[in-house]
Amino acid sequence: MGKEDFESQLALYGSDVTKWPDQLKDAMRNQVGENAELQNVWEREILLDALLKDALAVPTPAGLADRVYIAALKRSTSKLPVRQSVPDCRRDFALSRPAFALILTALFGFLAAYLTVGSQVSVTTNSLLQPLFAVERSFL
Amino acid sequence: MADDLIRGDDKSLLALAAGGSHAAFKILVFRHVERCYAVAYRVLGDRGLAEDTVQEVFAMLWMRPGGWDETRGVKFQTWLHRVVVNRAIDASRQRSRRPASEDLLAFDFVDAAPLAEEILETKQDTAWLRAAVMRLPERQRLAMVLCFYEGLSQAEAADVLRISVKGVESLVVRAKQRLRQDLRLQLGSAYQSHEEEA
Repeated sequence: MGKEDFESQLALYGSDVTKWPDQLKDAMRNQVGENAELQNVWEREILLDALLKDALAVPTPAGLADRVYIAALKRSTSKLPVRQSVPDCRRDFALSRPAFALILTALFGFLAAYLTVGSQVSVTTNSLLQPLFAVERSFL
Repeated sequence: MADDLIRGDDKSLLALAAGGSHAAFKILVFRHVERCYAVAYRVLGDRGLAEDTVQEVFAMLWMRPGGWDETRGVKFQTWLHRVVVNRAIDASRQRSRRPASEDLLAFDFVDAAPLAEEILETKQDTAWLRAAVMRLPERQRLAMVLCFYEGLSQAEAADVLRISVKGVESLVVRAKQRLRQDLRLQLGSAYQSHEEEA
């Protein structure tokens, strides 16, 4: 086993030889025991792994689990489908849709009635005004 | 009842949470939150972002507990790790469009090269190494963190990263090579003389 192969094995299985695959353990021990260069590589890997273990230790913040639990429940309610999470004014608007439809219908009805009645009014107006026009014409 | 829940496996707790059981969901959170936070923190290097990420993941789990499919042969914890890693990567990419956070800036304050003996004695001045880890390409860092610090097998790490086992091996080897170089630079003369002695 050369230095590069040994470094690759160390990278893959770590510097703790007890965790190496059984078929590699004995070969590694035999070769490293006779080779000062490999021993040096191994020692450096032990140093690196020890430092990495300290450097990458992650202290869990106090109360993390409680905060995550509560926040998860809160987020789940704030991210419901749009209809349930829209601001109040829009929700009110959504609830008054039937009323809005009624108003529209009434508006159209009023418009239709106005046009119909309006034309009748104009006819009536004309018929009422016709004698007046006749009087006016007689004066002229 | 509470004891039964605490002893329950992830699958049964998820089923109960899907039915709206707050107690079951709470046990799931308490059981997995620390490791999820550790993974997120090691990806992001930022406490606040890591906590936000974990909150998002658990909120998603509460809203859609059916995201994990046991029939695909992936353990719940492995699946959860994958979700956290993906969400943390997204957060990391969003952050890269913004200025660096305080935690990451703190990594860059390290410039002195302490002696190897000092490092070994105190074992506290590891900020330069954290910075070196954070400088690793994303996938190399993830592969190393998952394999060595989260205790995942290479096959599980491959599943989380959605690459082959060979791919994981390659990433881990390259990550370690880069860290060895950083160690060499950091330890400077002490390291050189040690090599010469050998």
